[in-house]
Amino acid sequence: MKTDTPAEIRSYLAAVDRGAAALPAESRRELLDDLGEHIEVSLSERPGELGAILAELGDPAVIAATALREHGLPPDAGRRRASYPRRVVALFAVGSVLGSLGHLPGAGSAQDAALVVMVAGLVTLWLCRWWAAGQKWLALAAFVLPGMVMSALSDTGGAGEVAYVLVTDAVRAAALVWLWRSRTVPAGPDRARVPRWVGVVLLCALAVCVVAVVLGFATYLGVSGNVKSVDLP
Amino acid sequence: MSQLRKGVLEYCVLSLLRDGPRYGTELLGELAQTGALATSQGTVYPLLARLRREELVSTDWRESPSGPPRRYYELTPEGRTALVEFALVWAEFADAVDHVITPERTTTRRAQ
Repeated sequence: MKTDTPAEIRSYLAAVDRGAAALPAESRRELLDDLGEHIEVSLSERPGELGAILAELGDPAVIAATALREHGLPPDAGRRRASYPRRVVALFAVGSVLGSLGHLPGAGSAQDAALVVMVAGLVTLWLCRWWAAGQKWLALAAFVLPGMVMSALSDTGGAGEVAYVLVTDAVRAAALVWLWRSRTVPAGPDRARVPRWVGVVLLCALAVCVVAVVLGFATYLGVSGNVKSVDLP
Repeated sequence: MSQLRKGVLEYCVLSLLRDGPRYGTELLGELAQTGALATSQGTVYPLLARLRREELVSTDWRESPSGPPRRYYELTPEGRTALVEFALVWAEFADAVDHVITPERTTTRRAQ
């Protein structure tokens, strides 16, 4: 469709596009072209009857579901597809919460866990094709920069640190909302394909980090236990 | 019932193309008039796309004396064969179903 298409037609076609997100890119474009052409031809035959023409075409969701079925896909395939971006956002949310908890007295090891989860989130984000490169860099900046500032100031302690934790959390929460809203359905698969060995290396690195964090936590518990036993007499 | 309608719809589309090429809105208008279309018109386009993929119909663009150019749908030889086969199967099937679901006819036949 051309750019001078009325907003009503554009929003109708966009609704079909969203519902048919799981279709192969070419088929989705074909469907939108067919519908766009139908509207254009009908309008030339019956000028001024756009509302009636769209009503006859029917519910965009029903058309999209029919298209999915004709491709042998389940009718809810469009909805299921957002699972990968959801994973990205979940990792960042968990990482942020752990990072904030790490500033509570006696919960230092949560910081290490936060780092692991955040790195996992960033790797997942970078592989995900629902966001453009520019959006990924923005998200990276929003998540990493406040944390860096905070860690530089973390030695100061007291009220200043609390304020920085709050500011960081606010920035991250806003970034998460923005990231989720700005997701767009990619033309191809959900995520970039990586060679199998890269995946294996990443998983191994993740496992090592998790073990290190758990061991660190155990050591921390052991140390505090020792401290207590020393204090007791 | 909706499954039956969906299955038969594609052959109704092929039948409407038997006498020559039709463009999208023309085809949908005729289809709506036959009463075979139980859903909205827009759902026919995914069906037409599949018929195109399966090479039962072919399409080409033609200029129109008024308005934008139109995409015409035309039966391919494969589409014509599929239609002939369906017509045979449908005649037998409709006959058989008629016999089963119309008790009066069976009893009157027995009485004769």
